[in-house]
Amino acid sequence: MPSPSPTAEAARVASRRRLLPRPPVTVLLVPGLAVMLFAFCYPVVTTLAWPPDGDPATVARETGSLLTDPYLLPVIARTVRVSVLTTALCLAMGFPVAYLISRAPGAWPGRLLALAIFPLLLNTVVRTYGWIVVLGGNGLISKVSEALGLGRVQLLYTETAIVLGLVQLFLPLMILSTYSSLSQQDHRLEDAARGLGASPGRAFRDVVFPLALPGVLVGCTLVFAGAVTAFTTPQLLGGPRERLLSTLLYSRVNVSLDWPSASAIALVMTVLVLVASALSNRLGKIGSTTS
Amino acid sequence: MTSVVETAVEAPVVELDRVSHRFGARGGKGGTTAVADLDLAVRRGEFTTLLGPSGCGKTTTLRMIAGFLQPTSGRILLEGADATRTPPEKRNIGMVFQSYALFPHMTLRDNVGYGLRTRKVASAEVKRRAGEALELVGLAHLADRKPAELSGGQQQRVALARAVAIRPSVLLLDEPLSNLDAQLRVQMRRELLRVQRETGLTAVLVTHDQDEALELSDTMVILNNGHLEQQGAPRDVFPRPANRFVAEFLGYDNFPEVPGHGPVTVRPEHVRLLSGGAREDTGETGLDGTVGEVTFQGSNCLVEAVIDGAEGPGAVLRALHPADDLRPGDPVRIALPHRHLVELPAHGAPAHEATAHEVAG
Repeated sequence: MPSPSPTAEAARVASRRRLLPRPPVTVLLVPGLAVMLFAFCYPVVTTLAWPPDGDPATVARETGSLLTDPYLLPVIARTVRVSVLTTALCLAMGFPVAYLISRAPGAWPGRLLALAIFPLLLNTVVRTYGWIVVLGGNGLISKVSEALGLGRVQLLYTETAIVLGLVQLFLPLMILSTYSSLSQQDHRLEDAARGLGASPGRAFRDVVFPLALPGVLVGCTLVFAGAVTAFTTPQLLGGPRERLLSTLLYSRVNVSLDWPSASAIALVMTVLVLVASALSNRLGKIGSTTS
Repeated sequence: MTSVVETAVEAPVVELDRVSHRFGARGGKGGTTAVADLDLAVRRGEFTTLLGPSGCGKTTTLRMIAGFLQPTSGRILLEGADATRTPPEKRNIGMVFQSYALFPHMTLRDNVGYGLRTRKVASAEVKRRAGEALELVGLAHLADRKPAELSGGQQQRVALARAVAIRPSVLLLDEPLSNLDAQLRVQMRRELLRVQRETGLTAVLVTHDQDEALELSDTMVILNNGHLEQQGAPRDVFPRPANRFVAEFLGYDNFPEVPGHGPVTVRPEHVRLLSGGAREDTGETGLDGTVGEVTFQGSNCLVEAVIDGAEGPGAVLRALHPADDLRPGDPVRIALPHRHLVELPAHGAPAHEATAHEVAG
């Protein structure tokens, strides 16, 4: 059998190509978009606007009363306070760790990073129960305080306990985000600044931190959003007294079965996260244009 | 000659006094030795290069002068004062990095002005001097751009301007041209020399490129395994390498065994290959050989000639032959002009010690 000539072969390939045009690359977006649409957008819109036994009007009414309710306003304030504090503490503790990891020699950055994010592999409930053991009335801190003659301390079911738990929960996330920015930096930049007369502190302020800002902002947004929406930790460490929006939302759905009110709470939480995200975007833009 | 006397009296801008650096050393013991007992003096206005293969300790030495690394032992003096423990920001050095290390979030003007701002120079003055420094490297028109918008060669100029702008006591250059392509590198070499001459700055350059060192240096310092192998003006060092390492590094390819001589070396361009029964002149040693490999290089041919009856690495001589008239297997007469034979110390001699004393004298 004669083998087809090269030109005939080329023509055949070309005609096949014409019959079956190559799909545009954007087709690759379809599966992801479909999942987002049916498993995210639809339930979110439903939850926020059309809850069971409610419609957008009732949700709006509930939101209005939520924002004026003297019992609920402190919950919003506490949620914001706990989330901001958690973010600030994670940044204060995570950034130096990420910095040192990014400057470690040889194979150490990889090893240290694995160690830093190891807690992410443990279940949240397990990690949170660890704090109950430490913070409770019969816990380690209380016993030490009693032995020192300072009396028992009950840290469990306080706002402090929630912040501690959340910081521990989200610290790896902050380390990871800031590390990604810091590790991309040319280490010589810091040397260059020092050589040009900058003290270590000034080199950090002028060069290291501004260049790490994208990672810092991503870390802060992630931690803030995580803290606003976290449920297990505030539920276990805050108890029924120190309510956050997330735990209140849970009780509205499962205890009082007040769906429109729950929708209103969810709406407030969503707005909080969106505001934080917008703020971070804004800061990122300022950071990249000034200096 | 009075100026020579004066410069000899003035303290060197940079002085290394038996400086050693060992990586991973604890309490001055153990670790890997990167620099061993190095003495060095850089005089004002001079261009000094630290030359050697990778791992020879040249960059470690530069980073110690800059203050980014501490010597394990020995002293570093800047402008005659002990600066061994002085942090880099207090040394008044202008460093140019191999990676340029320009601040990506700052404009060129802010990059170049940074060292002036840390010195609390008034902002109008910063702007003026940053502009001047950019002018010096021909980039004043791009002052408001960010580094990412520039080519590699332009970034290198900005890095140079930034180091020069602070009027440093010494300009430290860490392989600044090695990231540029060959043509641009030669061009930037001239540019570097021009800027150094115009500013009158003292410069220390680290390089592994012998051509760069030969062209730029007032003094070249050749390092190997953390030891000083030879030091001197290119005009003195190049024709008279002190030992086999320096010779090989400077492109002396041939280490023939010549009757009546100890260890010698000769450059390929000085080996004459004679054919058709021609004999060597007086003042030359002649050896019978056979042509091996011939590589055509345009205006010359690189010819390998094997000395008849000889064995080992000394049996092959590489010659830069000006005509393309030799073919493998041709008999050839190898002529070695005595005035181009460089005597080397006998094998196994600790060369760096001998040269260190020679240089001191």
